[in-house]
Amino acid sequence: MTAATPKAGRRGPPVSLIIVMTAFMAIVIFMLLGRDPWDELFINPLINALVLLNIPVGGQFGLAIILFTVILRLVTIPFTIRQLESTRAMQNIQPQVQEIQKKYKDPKRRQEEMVKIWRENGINPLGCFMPLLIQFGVFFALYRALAHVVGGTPESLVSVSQRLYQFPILQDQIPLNQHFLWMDMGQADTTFVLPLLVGISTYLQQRMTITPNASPQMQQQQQMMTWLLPMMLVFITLNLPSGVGVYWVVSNIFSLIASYYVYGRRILSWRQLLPLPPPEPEAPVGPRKDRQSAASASARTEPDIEAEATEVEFDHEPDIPAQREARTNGKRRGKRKKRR
Amino acid sequence: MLDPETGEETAHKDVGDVWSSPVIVDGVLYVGTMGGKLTAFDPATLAEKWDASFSVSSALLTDPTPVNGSVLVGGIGQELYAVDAETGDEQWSVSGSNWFWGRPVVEDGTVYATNLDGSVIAIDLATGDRLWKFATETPVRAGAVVAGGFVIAVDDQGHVYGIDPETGQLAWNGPTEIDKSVLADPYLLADGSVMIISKGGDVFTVDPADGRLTTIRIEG
Repeated sequence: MTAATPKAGRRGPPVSLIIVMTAFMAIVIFMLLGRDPWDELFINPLINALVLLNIPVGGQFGLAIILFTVILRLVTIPFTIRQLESTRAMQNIQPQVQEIQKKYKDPKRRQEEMVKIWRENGINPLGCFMPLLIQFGVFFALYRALAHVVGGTPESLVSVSQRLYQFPILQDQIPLNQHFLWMDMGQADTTFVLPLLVGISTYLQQRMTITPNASPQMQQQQQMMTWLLPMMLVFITLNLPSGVGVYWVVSNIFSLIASYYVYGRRILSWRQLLPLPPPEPEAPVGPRKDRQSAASASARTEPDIEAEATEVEFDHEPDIPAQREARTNGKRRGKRKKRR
Repeated sequence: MLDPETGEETAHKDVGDVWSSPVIVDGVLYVGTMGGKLTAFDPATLAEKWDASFSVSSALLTDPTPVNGSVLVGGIGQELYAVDAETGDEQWSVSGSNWFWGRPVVEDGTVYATNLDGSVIAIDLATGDRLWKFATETPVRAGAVVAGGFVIAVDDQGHVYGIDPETGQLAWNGPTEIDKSVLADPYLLADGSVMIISKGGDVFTVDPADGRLTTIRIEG
């Protein structure tokens, strides 16, 4: 059986639940006070954090956005690692999932079996969503915050005056220097460079999470998403303040580094990064009997499918101890056959 | 500086970002900058008149207002300053709870200043003592005007207030409502009415006696 990360997502539900419950309580309190919870909980703290970070970077607001992104991604790194591990674990159980889908036609039974596998492998499917939720939440909050902070209109500045906390150190930073490299942080980048960077970095990040052992239908969906999401973001970035695009690019770079940490050298493979066709399977070298057995997929038993799936994963998951063990066992079996 | 006849540049001085309108009074040009400096210049040569500029740590937003030997100026630092027009030294300052952005107006030795905390403040010009504070419903970006014996102020949501300058109380039955965002300073017209321009370019006049509103239709 494929080794999954037993800890993946195990601590997810309580932490997520605490966060959700705290957020819910805060929303209710602000609503009771007649204040806009979205503004009070997200937009205003974000505006103040960005203005505060403007100080250590010498008043360069673009750098403040980058610093903010790095800090945010560092703070949420446990969620990110958990998401990546969860994704990896999901990839690892794909053969079993496919087998269940083939074996059980009753949706209820199928679901029960799926839950059983998730539980056995310590997978929490919802654990994948928390970092995405945070990332998209910050994305939209940042869009709104930048519209106020570097909106460039008297109206936006009046709005900032109402949202900035009453500390002279913050007030003294206004107005912000919104020019960074070739961009104006409050305006969309018309040179297309930033939208393209957003698209490329999102594409690469999407390729990292492709499930190699997924069913053809799922692989097709994944392929579509790897193109669709970056293209959508390119067009969205063309109409958003550049500051939001800078956040997205830096965040993606951080995700790539985190993927490297979790997945290892696999992400450096061109085949993984580019939409190249999968490698041709090597010709079977075993006895004729083995070749015939490999050719007749309909006659395969569950252990056979699992073994094959494990072999496929060896190309992508060289670091998992259980796979290393399985590979060693496979080699031993081969040696035994040769001896015979 | 530009020659009014030919439009050619006659003098040039780099002072940094300026959001307020420079003002020339009694042959002196006053410029307040986003870098927090108020400087007096000779308009012909742009030579500085004071030994050193009046300087604060935050941006100056209000138009400099020279009156009776003082120059009034305020900004993001939540203070309104009176600066000696001869020397550039600070005479007094009054704190608000938010930015001063609207142009201050002076009538009979009293300064009327609006603040983005949603208030109109009356200050004794000579001493800097606060006389009263009138609370508006929303923040006030636009400066106040004095018309028909009342202080007229308009907040950013278009509520127009006629305030008794003696007591600081609302003089009308209630605020007149434009229902449009107003950020620009109102203007006192020759007929004694007050002109207000809302966001989007709608123009209104207000009768200062009772707050009656008239919409001005601009053809074309």
